[in-house]
Amino acid sequence: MLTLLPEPAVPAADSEAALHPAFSAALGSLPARLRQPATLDELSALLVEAAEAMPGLEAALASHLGFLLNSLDPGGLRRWIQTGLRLYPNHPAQLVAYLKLEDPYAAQAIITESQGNAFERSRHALQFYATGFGQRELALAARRQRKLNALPLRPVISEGTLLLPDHYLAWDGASRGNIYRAAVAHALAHLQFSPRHQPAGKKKPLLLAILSLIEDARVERLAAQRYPGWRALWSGFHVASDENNELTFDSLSARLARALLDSSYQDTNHWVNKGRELFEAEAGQGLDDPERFAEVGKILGNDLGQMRVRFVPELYVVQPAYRDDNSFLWEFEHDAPPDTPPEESLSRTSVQIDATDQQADTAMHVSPVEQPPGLRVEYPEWDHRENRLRDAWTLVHDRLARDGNEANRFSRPRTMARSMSLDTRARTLDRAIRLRRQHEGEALDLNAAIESRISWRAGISPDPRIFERPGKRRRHASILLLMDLSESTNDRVKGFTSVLDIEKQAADLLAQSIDTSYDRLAIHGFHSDGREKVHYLRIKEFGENYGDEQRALLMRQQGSLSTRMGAALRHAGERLRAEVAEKRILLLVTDGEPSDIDVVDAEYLVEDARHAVNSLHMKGITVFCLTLDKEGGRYMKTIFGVRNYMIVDNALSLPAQLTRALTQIAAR
Amino acid sequence: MIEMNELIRPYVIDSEPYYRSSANEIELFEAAYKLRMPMVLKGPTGCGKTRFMEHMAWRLKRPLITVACNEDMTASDLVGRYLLDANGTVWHDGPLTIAARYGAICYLDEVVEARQDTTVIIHPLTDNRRTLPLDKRGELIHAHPDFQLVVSYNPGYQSLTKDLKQSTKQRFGALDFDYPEEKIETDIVAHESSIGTDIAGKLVGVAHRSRALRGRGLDEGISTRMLIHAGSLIYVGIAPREACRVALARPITDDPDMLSALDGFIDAYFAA
Repeated sequence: MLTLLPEPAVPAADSEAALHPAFSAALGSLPARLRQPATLDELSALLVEAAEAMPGLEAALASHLGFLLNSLDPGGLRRWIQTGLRLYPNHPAQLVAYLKLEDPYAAQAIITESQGNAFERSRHALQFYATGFGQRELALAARRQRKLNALPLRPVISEGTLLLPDHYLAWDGASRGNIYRAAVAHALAHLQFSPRHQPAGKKKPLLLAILSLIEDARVERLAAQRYPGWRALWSGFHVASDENNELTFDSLSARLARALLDSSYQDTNHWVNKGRELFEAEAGQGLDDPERFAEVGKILGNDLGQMRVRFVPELYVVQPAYRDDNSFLWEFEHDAPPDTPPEESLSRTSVQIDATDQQADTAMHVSPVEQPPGLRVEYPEWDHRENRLRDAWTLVHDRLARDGNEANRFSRPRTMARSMSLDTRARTLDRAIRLRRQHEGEALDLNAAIESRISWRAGISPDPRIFERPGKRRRHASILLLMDLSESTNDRVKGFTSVLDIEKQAADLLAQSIDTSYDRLAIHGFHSDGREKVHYLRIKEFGENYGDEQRALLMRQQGSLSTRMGAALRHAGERLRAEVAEKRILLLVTDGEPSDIDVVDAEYLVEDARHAVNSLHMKGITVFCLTLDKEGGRYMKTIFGVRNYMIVDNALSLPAQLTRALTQIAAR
Repeated sequence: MIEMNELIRPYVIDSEPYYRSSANEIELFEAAYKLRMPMVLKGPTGCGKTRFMEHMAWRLKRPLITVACNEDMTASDLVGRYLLDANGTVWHDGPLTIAARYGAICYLDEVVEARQDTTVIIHPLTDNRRTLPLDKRGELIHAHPDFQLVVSYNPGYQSLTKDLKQSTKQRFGALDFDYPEEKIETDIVAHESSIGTDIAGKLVGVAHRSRALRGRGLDEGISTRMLIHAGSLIYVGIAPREACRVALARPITDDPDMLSALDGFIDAYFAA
């Protein structure tokens, strides 16, 4: 119950103390819309972090905070600050101008970040893309950058998984084209053409970086021979030039990368041109042998050493941003002595950084064996006192009731107890049904018309029914029966029969009387133990036969714990939404009002359930509830609306009432 | 040429329809025709089933009567019915009856689309009886020695409600069709749309990418027929990327994510 008390509307005490006065003032003057506890917490954490990342510049950021938050959410603001930090890492004056929105780039970045270039948005398309190129097993996942002022992330290819940064900033070139597609295409080129996990041995980090760059260029050229469009896709992100003639490693390597991809690019630097000539000479003899290209890399790396170009592995990231960190190419000796200079393991940087980073854990866990026992989905919950939806407030644990034995799915259907008790009035016009020999209709029934003519000519009185018209049928329905499996269903109704027994009988009867060629039925159940543990059990799935196994499974269910209705309804709704049916019906059978151990306010869960039911209605799902609570009229009406509930006074009649109710709903 | 009834002469195919075989299907079909064995051509849409049938009819020098099946079709639409004229009723043979009476090949395209009660009328024609009873007319037709029945269907969109009865299925021999292998498909696309093999090869590449998504978001991949459409658009001067979007990507899906992936395939093969 503590968890439901509204959090203080000001940031928590410890972060408040750390918060710069300028920020406190700015936060205080925010419009009410933004002064939500969760948002404020996130914001103050971000501001504390920002104050650490750019000491002395708090006032500059605070000056336009309200304006910024009008167009950016906290995540967007974070990315906008990141963009500034990366643009002007060593130019405080320019960074101030950026933060004060005096830099023209600042405005542009606001626009880009407010739209966002998030991985999640293009994930499905990218997955299709990778599958199309033959990588069916490759899973795509996000890497999250948690630190404000850290190095930008690069994609990582590991066995079976391609990790992509969850956001590309405008600074990374995200505005110059489809950067995620470019990243996937580059990874596909590696997967197809690159040798994997070669021993890195004692190679210096600088050499590894150059070898990786040459390998990038080689596989890109190979892939572009087959997919010429990829060259254009990638070259959009190569923008390094010799304009300032910088002699840093970052600049030189980015220019070499560009020169190797884009034949029209001209550079004045000798090293870059030498690299290009050596590469082209090898490429002229074929691209298939990576060994020969390694020689080019060694010569170039050696030259850089002699040019005394400084290389700091910790600060190096591959350019451009779509290229992966190349850790896929190298295998490092794990038993390297601890005093080895950190440079030794350049290409593992991403992996190493991650090892201390919690996100890395999930990243590393993407492919492995461990399978969670079921699905966990977060759902929001409606708080009627604050009039807002709490994001990701409840956690539904969804699992199959049986032990995942696939063979059970196809158990023989039980013989039908009665045929099609869902017989209702037909509603939909169906041209596949043709009613012949009608008195009126939209077309002549040719055979009947001809017979009628024959009779007429033969002097017999003709049959006037010579028309045909299309018939009607009832809509196909997908029905999800959601059973309340809470503790209270163990109450006895009569003798040894409990409420749950009656629920089971009703479900059993329903499952047997549904015509499976016409309607689809699923039987699910739920109970809850606080907002983090809403258990959702799938007893019979859609499309699964209702056989002896399913029946036994249904009968085995026991009542325990509480009834957090809203979360279960939302989850059941999601399950139903996957169904392709003309009508989707969610039938809830319960014995009382919603309740849970962490809620004291009786109205809270009722209002939340009402919110859930309303949003399901908006998604085209009909929700209907049968309750055994004789006193339930008041809250039932609140939750489900006047027409959508039925109080069953005599518990023993529930099975019959359930089918009757369903017949009515199906006919609506 | 053997004497042929005037009624079926219009169905004879005069010039050779282009068909590029990918295995020994021509040989197999010729053997089946020798035995007058009823045949099923199975395969995804647009892979060349109908073209194959036209080619075989031309090769065997038999008229080809094609019926596109639909769920509104009745048995009378196949066998025929009485119609009225000035003097009374007159019987009109349906396409199946014409083919059986005078010795043509009758090709029922997409036969699963017809309802099952319609398709059972082909049963007596497709076993060793080779007869077609016309109950309304009180006539029993013995099939002409040259008659053969061929049906086609696409197992892709087969569902519980749309499948052939076992008793129907088991009367046929079956040939499996699929999209031809890359090289052959390239030749086909190049030939049919008069574009060069380099562009045709890229089109086939796009199609292969899309076929990998079959069952993973797409019901069917891009068919050879669609490639020929795209190739023809390119031939008349439409820019390749534009032509592919119009003829390949847009028609097969409405899902924005899938469209984005398909456009990605097109962009990968055709640089701007």
